[in-house]
Amino acid sequence: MSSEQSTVLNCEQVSFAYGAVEVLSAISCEVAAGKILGLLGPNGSGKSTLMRLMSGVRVPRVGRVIYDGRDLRTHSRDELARAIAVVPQETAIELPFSVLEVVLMGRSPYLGKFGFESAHDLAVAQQAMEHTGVAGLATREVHALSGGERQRVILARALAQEPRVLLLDEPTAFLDIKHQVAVYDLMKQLSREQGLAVVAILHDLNLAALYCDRLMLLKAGHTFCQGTPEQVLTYANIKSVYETEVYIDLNDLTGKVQILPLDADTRRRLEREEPTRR
Amino acid sequence: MSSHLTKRKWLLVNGALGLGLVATILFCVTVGPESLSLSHALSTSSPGNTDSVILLRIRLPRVLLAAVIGGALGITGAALQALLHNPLACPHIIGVSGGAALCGIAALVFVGTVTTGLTGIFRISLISLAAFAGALGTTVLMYRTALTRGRLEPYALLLTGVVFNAFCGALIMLLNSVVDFYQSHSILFWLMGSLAAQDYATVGMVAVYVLVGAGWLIGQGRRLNLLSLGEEGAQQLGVNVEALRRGTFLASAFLVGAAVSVSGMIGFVGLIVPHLLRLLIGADHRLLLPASLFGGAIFLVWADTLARTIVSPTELPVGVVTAMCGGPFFLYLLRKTERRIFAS
Repeated sequence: MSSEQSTVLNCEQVSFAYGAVEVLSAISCEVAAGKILGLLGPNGSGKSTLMRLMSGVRVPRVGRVIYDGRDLRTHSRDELARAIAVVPQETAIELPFSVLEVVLMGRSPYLGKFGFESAHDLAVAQQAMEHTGVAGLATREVHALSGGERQRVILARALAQEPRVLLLDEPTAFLDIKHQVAVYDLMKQLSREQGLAVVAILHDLNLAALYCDRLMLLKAGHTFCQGTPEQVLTYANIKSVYETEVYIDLNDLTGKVQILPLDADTRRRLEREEPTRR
Repeated sequence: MSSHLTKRKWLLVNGALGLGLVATILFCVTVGPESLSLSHALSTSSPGNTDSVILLRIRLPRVLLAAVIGGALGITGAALQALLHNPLACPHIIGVSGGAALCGIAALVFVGTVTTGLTGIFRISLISLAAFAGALGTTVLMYRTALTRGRLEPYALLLTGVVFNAFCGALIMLLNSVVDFYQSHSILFWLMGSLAAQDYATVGMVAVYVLVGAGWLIGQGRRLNLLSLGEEGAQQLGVNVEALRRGTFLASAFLVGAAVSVSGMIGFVGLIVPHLLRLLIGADHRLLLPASLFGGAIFLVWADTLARTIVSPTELPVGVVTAMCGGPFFLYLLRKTERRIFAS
């Protein structure tokens, strides 16, 4: 495999603590061009913190994050902003910026101090808005949009940065199923066609199985396991990390793993039948 | 207008506002208890022309000072609103003016009118320095209080500002009750805000400070835009948020301190002006900041003209006029913002 060559971003044994509380310890992972890496784990397992280390907003206590062969800290702020884009869970914009203005903010790392956006910047922003389906909203004020529309505006802003790495922190948490699928379809398309490296935090294990090339399962700040969706999303792994029973199967249509939660009645029935079932 | 900022729009809006300011100044110097004509006052043929004395010695410095102070308050309001992610922020409401006034008054009472020995535009009195320190200290205090777990709570900020203003007011009243009549009069001037009786040297001094502070802020327009994506969002787009925050605080305190030290507390300019301009020209701070400088200047010149003519031959403190406009405006804004926050 030539995965070594296509690695854009990698974490080498990174640890991080907020004050005295260690939230990540010795995490290593590689983000490859053209691939989607999914970060999974229960609430508080350190996924968002790991993403902050990847974007350079936080600096690891121990270990290094390497982008393009060099420690993240040796890149200039604008260099990083042109290379790595982040879509947070939610963005509250209180001032009445228009959709186009917000998307154009993604061009900021390409502008000079007093610079105005060029025709090229506008074209990039326009294409980004078309990709996420918000081109028709360009003149609307962002704070008047629905949560789902606003999230697609923020995604367009990230794409306008023309990044090599796109970090998504549960980007579809507030979207309906149609827009969830649309966002991940777009991620898949961009990674395949433009070699974009994508890292996404997901809570939906089925979406993770469906779209991610590799998965990393975190538990209490440690890497529980990483690998292909089939390797990671097993009954034993999920039971151990999420501490809940699930039903796992291969989906006939997609050929991917599918995971269903089980309610209390079913779990109790399974417990009675345990020896014979598994 | 287009939905994003272009160079053409920038030049057009600032040009129009600049012309508007010049027209406002030219008109407002002719208005007053003695209505006078510019051409007569400026004709050199008649020596000892009283119109000329009124125009050049009384009205022009006052109108120019109103423009400078109004500009400072307008641009500071716009910058603080960007910094605090809150369209309701303004130096007066979050307590910065109150803190500046309290420290200025304390210096006046305890130290008196001691100067630093410098002259000309560097003629900074200890009172001005105290006002500046008060503005800076209050800004930092307000920010720290409203910051909970790294996030700014807009309503916590407003409440803290209200409480802090009341607290400053009480301390000022305390000082007022222990001083003599003359000092008491000066304290009243600080509380009500006044642009009267200033000479060109003072106007020039304040103008230099305001231009420096405003110039720095205008240079941060693009970065302040990014701040509305949240602090991490701005950081990820290449902004050194900590440096931007410190610089903006310092510049705001500098501008408010300079304004309060010569004209006392004039409220609401920083709230009304940026908000109205945003409705007209959009939220982009590259344009909004210089526009708020011009807009604040125009607004305060008109407000002061109203203050000195509406109950002629006496006059109102200009702070009364701006508060009359600003109070109801604030309530309207609060209602509007609240509806949006609770609807989402």
